[in-house]
Amino acid sequence: MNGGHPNMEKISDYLTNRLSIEEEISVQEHLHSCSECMEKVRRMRSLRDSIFDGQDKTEEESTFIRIVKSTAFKAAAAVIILAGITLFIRESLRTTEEVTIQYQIFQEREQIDPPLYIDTFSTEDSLYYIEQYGEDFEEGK
Amino acid sequence: MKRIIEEIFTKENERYNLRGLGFFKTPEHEAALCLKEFPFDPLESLSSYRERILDKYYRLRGFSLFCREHIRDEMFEKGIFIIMKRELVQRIKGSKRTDTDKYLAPENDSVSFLLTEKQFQEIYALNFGCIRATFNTPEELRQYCDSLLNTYFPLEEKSVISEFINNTTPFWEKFYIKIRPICSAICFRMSGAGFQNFADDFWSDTCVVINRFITSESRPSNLNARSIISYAVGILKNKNRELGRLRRKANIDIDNLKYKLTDEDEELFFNNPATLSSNFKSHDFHFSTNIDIQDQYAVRGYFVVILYNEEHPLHNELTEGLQDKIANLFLHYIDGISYEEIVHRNKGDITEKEMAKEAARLRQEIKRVKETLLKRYYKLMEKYR
Ligand SMILES: [Zn+2]
Repeated sequence: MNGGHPNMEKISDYLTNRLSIEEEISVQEHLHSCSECMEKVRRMRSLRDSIFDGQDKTEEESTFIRIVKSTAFKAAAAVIILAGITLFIRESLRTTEEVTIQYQIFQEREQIDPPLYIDTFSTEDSLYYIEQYGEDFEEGK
Repeated sequence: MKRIIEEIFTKENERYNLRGLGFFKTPEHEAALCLKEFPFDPLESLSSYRERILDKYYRLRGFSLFCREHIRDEMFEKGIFIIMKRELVQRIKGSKRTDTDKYLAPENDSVSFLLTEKQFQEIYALNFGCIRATFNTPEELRQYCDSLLNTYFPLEEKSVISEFINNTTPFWEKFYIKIRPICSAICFRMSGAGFQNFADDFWSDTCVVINRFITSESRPSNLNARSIISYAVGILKNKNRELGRLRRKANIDIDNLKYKLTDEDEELFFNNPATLSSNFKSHDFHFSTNIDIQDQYAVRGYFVVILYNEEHPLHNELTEGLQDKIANLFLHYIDGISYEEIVHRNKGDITEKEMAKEAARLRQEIKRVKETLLKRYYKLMEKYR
């Protein structure tokens, strides 16, 4: 903590049991001497306890299982793809975070065009892999 | 002094679920008892006091006997499961990424340190069934768990692959998250900025196909982590070719399709603070490693962390449009201010009848805000798992 107040991330990790014992003790040492941080911890706990008072959320079926189940029953490809064609012509610019990076990788690839083999599959696109996995994907099978 | 000792016991309780296990009455009660038995010397540092008394305190309270008596309780077993999973999260943070994880787990996450309930039960039956070790403190119990984990983790690639073949859900879930950005990237490559409209469908289709392939008898005999991801990519690429063929059939003018970003798009994609890589929530942030959904302290704690911390990457998504109302919720829940007092602060002196009406309205409003926030939170957990 370098003598200063622990930052919000540290306090959050403290509250959610994500610190090692040593880190936890060091936060407590600070709380002992800093009423401001102690008050912050108290407020967060108090919010937690009152919000969840009487709540008991049971675990729901996970997204993926639902996706997999629902997709299995879809009339699949044709419908999806036709819908896709109509939709992607529209210049929808909803940004998806990953794509920025992927796109940069693709852009770079267009200049360098390195060899790429992914096991049994063809060598086109997928530069993502070279970036992500390096040489492994250039060795070929 | 009392306050910090209460804090220590509150934390002990959060860390080891001692109240849930039936060992603690309340942290306040334990703190008072502890201070009575072991007075604090003002010249001593807190950490030295903590070290000196916690051990003695747990012995005095009979922690080891408590463990022996409760080792077969379901609650106790669940508590140990949570302790082990928390330890494993620490290991993901603190150890070198395995090759298996490189191919099969999302960034900052791991399949090599994944403990399923089934495996836990095996470990528990084997190591806690006829236990000879005594645990004088929860910390000793945690250390014992830690030493057990050393013998099982990180899982070998072979064991991970057999979990995939046996269709073990938590392993597949991590892999599905892993291939999501790859799927987006390939779709984007093929289809330009409109990719997102069908990237999710491609992703879920690919998940189904790869899962069927790997869990079927027709899978190759020498599977490894790298070949699993390679098959997933192959499936994706084939799907994109399918799309290409359909496109031609559907008589779409291919020349007019968007394959590249325009300058305007580029501005939006790259020069927009909202698309900075540091904000890539689904890359940097996985609820699956941050929150163990079976661990109520983590689930509840994380909600407050997002709600209270305005700088948290998910704060705006959680609170959008509710900021004013959340201020009232804080006043009521954190500061314990009555509905009437909040109304008074906002509206000044009003008649008794108006006050009753306004206070009732505020009560309803706070209740609704709370419900909306919780609903959004559970949705976020699903979205970023
Ligand atoms: Zn402080």
